[in-house]
Amino acid sequence: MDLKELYSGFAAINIKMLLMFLIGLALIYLAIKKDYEPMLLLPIGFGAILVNLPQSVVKFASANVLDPFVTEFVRSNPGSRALFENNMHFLFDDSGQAFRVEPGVLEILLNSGILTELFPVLIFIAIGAMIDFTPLFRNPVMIFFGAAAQFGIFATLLVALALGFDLKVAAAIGIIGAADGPTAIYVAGKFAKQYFGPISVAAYSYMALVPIIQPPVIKLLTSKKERLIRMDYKDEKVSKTVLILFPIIVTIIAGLVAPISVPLVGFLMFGNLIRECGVLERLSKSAQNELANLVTLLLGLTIGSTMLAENFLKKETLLILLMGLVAFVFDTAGGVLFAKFLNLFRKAKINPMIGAAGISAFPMSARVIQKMAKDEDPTNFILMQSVSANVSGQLGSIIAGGLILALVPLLLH
Amino acid sequence: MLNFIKNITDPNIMGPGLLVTLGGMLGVFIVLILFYLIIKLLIRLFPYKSEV
Repeated sequence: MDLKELYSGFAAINIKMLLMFLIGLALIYLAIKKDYEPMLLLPIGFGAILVNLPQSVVKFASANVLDPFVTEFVRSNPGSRALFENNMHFLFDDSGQAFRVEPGVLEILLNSGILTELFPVLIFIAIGAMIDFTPLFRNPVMIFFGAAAQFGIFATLLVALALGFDLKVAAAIGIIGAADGPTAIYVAGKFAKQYFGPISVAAYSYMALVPIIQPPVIKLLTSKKERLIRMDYKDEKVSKTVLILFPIIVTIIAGLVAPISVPLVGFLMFGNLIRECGVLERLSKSAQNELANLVTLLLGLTIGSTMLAENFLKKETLLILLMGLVAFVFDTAGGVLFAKFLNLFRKAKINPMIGAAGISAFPMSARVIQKMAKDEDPTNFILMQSVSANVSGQLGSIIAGGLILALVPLLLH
Repeated sequence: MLNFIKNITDPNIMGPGLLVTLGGMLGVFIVLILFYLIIKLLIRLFPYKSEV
């Protein structure tokens, strides 16, 4: 036995590896100490540490399968060796024999759960089972803020293009503005696999930072008088038939408008249907709990496994993290300015802060808006209107994601 | 910084992005307007009946 193998782990330590350990630890710290989306940031942080340990065994298990065909091929075409080494996970020994690297456990999860889009769509079922559209049915006009607050997606796409990213990658970066982790992962999986790590970290981190990002933007764009606007709330009941028909009709319409959005919209609405139908209590509870928890656990760890030092420690990662902030700022601004625009034509004014609740970060954004309203006037209660806008943001974000998936390939052809 | 300004004024780079932006924002609004009309119609067709 070569004694070098005993300390090969220590010999492999380098500065990039140590930096990734620090980044992983930082995510774990934010999850535990600051309670920033711990369900995702802790597994992502730990996955980042696992994959950057020497030899990345969780990603690439030991190479011990001799491949005679590749061996012969590379001997005849020496220029092809780099392709097999860098893109197809082969290792070559000193005599030029090619050994296929077996995928490690996290690579298997990546290939079967994320690159196939399986994990995000399973989470959509769970999210759908958690959504209650009743507040939206009581205040249907709030649905428009779910559209306006998606502006950040497209503004960020334009900024990313100006920074030199191509259209597909710019779209994947822009979708951070959907404020919806599974949608961001789904679009990144289609358009920018190489940036899974930073896009996911940005999406989940900024969702946790909504209470810090939104208030200054709202205060900048509104006057005190506007923030004091009171709104009526109709506490009308909604029939079961409406709650059941809505997810079915939405799925069909979305499928006709943008067929590529069906995995997003369809699975979300399926989850909602099993919640609302009233005869699948056990399935609904399982979707909201066991399914959500299991898939989230595997999803976070697998996303962390994409954060190999050589892929993550690049200038582009920092740019993506900065653009995530741009996305959330423009989302907030889009919703607020749209509310102010509507107020030009309405007798019964809308409190423009509610526009900011049109992002998909549910229910955090609604709570942030109610807190701001209460800070201005302790007797002003606009939580239910904010919740209506927030729920419609969940619809708006998946529709925006579906449209991006449909439009970008059209323009590239 | 110079590259940013150069790219932002280049229609070959920004043109497709602006089309996606226009199509995307219009598309989201149109679809949600449709959902708004569906909600209004469903509420009118199936009003709440209290269970007795």
